Amino acid sequence: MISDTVVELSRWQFAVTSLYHFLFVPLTIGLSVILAIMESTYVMTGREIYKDMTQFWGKLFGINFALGVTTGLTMEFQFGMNWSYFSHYVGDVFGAPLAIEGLMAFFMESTFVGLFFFGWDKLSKGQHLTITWLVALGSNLSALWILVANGWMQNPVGAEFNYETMRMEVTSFGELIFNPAAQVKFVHTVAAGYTTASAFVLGISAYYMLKGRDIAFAQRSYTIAAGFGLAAVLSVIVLGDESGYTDGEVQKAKLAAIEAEWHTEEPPAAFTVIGLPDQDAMVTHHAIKIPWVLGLIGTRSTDTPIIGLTEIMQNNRQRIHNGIKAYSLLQQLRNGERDETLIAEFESIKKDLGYGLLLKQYTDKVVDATDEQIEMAVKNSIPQVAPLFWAFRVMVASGFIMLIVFVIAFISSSIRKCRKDWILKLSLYTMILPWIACETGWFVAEFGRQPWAIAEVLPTFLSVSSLSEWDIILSLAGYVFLYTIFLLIEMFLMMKYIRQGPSSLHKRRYHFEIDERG
Amino acid sequence: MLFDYETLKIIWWAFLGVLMIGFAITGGFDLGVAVLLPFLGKTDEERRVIINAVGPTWEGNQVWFVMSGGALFAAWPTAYAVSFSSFYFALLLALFALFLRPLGFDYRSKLPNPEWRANWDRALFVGGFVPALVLGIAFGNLLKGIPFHFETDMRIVYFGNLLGLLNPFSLLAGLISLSMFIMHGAIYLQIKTVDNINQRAQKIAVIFTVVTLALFALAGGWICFLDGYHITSEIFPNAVANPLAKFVKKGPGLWLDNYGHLPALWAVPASAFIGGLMVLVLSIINRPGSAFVFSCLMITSIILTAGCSMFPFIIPSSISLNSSLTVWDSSSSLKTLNLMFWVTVIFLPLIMLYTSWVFRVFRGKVTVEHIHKNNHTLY
Amino acid sequence: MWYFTWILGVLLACSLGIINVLRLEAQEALEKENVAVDPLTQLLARESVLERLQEKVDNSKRNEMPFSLLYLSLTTFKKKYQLADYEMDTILFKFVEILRQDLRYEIDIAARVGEEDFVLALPGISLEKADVIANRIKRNILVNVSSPSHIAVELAIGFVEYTYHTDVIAEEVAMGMGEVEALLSIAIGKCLESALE
Repeated sequence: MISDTVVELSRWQFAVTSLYHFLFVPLTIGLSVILAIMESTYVMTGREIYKDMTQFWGKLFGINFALGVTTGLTMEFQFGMNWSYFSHYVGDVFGAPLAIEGLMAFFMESTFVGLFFFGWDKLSKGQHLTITWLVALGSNLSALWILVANGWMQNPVGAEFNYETMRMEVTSFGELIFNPAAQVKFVHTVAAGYTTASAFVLGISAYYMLKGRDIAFAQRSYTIAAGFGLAAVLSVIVLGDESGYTDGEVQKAKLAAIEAEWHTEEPPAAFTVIGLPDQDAMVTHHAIKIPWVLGLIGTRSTDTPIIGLTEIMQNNRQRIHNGIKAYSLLQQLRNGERDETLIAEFESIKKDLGYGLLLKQYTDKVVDATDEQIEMAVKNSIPQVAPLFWAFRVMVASGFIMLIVFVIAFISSSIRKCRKDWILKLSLYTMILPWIACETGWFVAEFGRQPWAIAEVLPTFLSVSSLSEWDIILSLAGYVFLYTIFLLIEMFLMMKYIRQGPSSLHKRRYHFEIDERG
Repeated sequence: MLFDYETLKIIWWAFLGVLMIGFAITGGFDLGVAVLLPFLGKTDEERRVIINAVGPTWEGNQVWFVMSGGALFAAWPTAYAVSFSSFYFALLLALFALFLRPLGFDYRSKLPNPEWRANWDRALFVGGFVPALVLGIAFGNLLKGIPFHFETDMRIVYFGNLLGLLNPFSLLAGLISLSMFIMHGAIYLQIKTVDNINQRAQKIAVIFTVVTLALFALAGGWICFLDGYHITSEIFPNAVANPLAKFVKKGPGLWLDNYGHLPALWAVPASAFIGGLMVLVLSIINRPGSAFVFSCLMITSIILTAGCSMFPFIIPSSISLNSSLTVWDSSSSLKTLNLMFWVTVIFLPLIMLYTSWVFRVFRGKVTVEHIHKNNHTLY
Repeated sequence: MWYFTWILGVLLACSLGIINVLRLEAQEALEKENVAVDPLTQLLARESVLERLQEKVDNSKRNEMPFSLLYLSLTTFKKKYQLADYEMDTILFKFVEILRQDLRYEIDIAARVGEEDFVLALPGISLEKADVIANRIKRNILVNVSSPSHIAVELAIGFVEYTYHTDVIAEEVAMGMGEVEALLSIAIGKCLESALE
């Protein structure tokens, strides 16, 4: 049986590496679009200041992009390195969007980014602008395909288990691509990226205006970021709502866990704003609830109930029993028996095979699981509620605060003297919130799917590679060590260029070079 | 569906080769240039020239590597799983070295501090040297077969370790890979630079072409005695992916079997030598552009030789022969191969088109004057 | 369905950003028109300059950077050679052309505050550099501006540096003068001195 430590360490490693990766990705996704906006304005108006803006924010984009690429390499490798059973079991389905990501997005993004930085003198205005838009398109499409892949992990449509090859195989690519989970995740995630980048530009421009430097430059950057960012943050919240609704349809356990819905309530269910969820007692202490809100936004109706965790676990118990049956049938098929009725029986019950696999954590044979072990599996068939409950609320709170900030920023950027100090300080100090929202958001997405790697198909603990504990301790240590150093270097460079501002372009037009005359 | 399962498997074996060769001839010279950086660039300006010779295009070239991994995952998921988990530490080392590249290229010249720059130069060297070596070592191990087997539920169990990967034949393969990338990088620098750097590059190109050919010949001789693999049971090319349903035998010299069946295949290793000779001649007479074409041919031939020798094996298992992964029994499903085929057929030519356009935009020499003029915008 | 919405959404969001900034441009252009400008030279007129100079003072404090105020006068020159208004106009026109070449867009302020009197505010320039610039302007005027009867055009310049911790204007401020008025009066004083030399 697989060592628990190996599973835990592998999960920690994947969590750490993906959270690190996602520090840089949203900025890449959003800032590339903002650069395209700035350059479009340059081409439309012919005013040099917009070209300076594109080049300055482009420098910051480059510093960030480098680490996005670096941490991204790890992700591509890690599926095979640390999750080899996963890679075999679902590779037929999962590998395709990743490969398409490479063909459609990575090539375009990486090939043209060099041209973006170094092609100013070699290309016409229109050509260079097109390049910038293609870089933005590339990074956005890259998000699309990875989220099609992740969306499939959350809601595995369009694929079926094949007992001959012992893996999931595609039945319909259309279903895979148009998976409602994938669609909503994609738009929500890129909108989060747009929000992050807008907050980045907003905050730093506010800093320049607070210092009274390069006002014209900062004002224009601020104004663009305020407009784009307002649209972005509205989208991200709307799509967050849509995500919740989709979860209510296809990932009921995740929704119930996020909202600490221990039992199915009389619809429309109340929304628990805050409280202390207690998984053992299956109750939330000191809960503050708002009646009807959860039911209304989660199901968009007044009579559809939100299934509670207790009912889900009861359901899971039955599915685990089905899973045991499916597993024993599978063993017979693997032994070479090919009876017609056997095959038919297996096909009818194979959707619960994953639930049977949950028992592998306690007994390798599955079919000899004791009642105790089955109860343990049932208990662990839902994710841990408390971390999800809090992470979700932190994400939503951050999102709503950013909404307020962008509304204020947008209104003030519409009044010429958008230089009220308190607004600028607000823009600067809330700059970090989108990052908090992004990371907690991913935590909710992934932790909420536990104990599954592929929801209801493949448990996480089964997906790991057969490595030793030391293998992973060393690799995890290596990643943490290197990533921390890289992050420190990146932040150092980023701060240096931010402090210099557009004077770092050395065009003799900006603040730190205004005394280079005479 | 235009093709049947059997044909698609062969097509995808070829595509994988195309992607890996694509990386070798594009990313390969980037790795080579990085290895040569401390030796061909004696001053800070010269080093900036070398870095900027590949600067605008290296990122696009690296995608061929990422794509090879992605295509392996999509078309040969079990092979992806076996190779990446078995080569754990080797890949980790290569990965850590690759980390240094984006940072090295972008951050190196952002501060004027000479120590900062010297450290990043070292980092870039490591970022070129280690992956070049490791990729070759990995390939060598594929030819030897690696000690893994499948359990009944297809769980992969690997019995080797990092030291086991560093066996003599694989080390030779690593040296071939390193040497051919250095040769390729040197020729690229011969194209893109002038004066001192150009001359130094020419010398390196000549030396390492000879070295690569010599090592390749050595490997060729060694293969005659190396244990190869051969499927002994009947092959069902249209069957679903079930590696455990076959029988395999192992024995010395079996990797030359394919050449026996199809003598025309000898043209592949032969063209490596012809290519190498042309590279020598053209580099010496200062026609590095044409030399580059033949360098690409040589690299293609070397990799293709390995692939053709191994066909239909993708990853042989040295301890559980029947667990070996072959072209016929480890691919993705028909639907997946078909979809990926069409996506690739549309996008790969597009990619080659715009990539060559980008190279055209950046054609021409990189000189020290150019660096001075654009001090703050270049790498 | 959401993929399609995304395409629309991005286009809308980008448009919002662009429209917002174009609106800012239009607003600024409008404001520029509303700013009082001297019709002959197109420099700022006296009414607008005080407000702008106060902005520069505030900025200087925020950034802890100096700026220099130059007062340029051709009044003495005109009186000395008893030139008619229309003759002065040609000279002034050319003078301003030359002055403009040295101005940094959006950073420097140039204003016509009297018939033949001008003010230049140069952020980031210290006293020493202001001296260099003043001499350079004098030389350029001498060489490049021709006057009727080929009289050498003598420009009088007085300049003062403002730093946030300067005590150059301490006296005047203590007397109740505004910072800008104090600077101007010192500069005018220096200019008169230079004219009398």
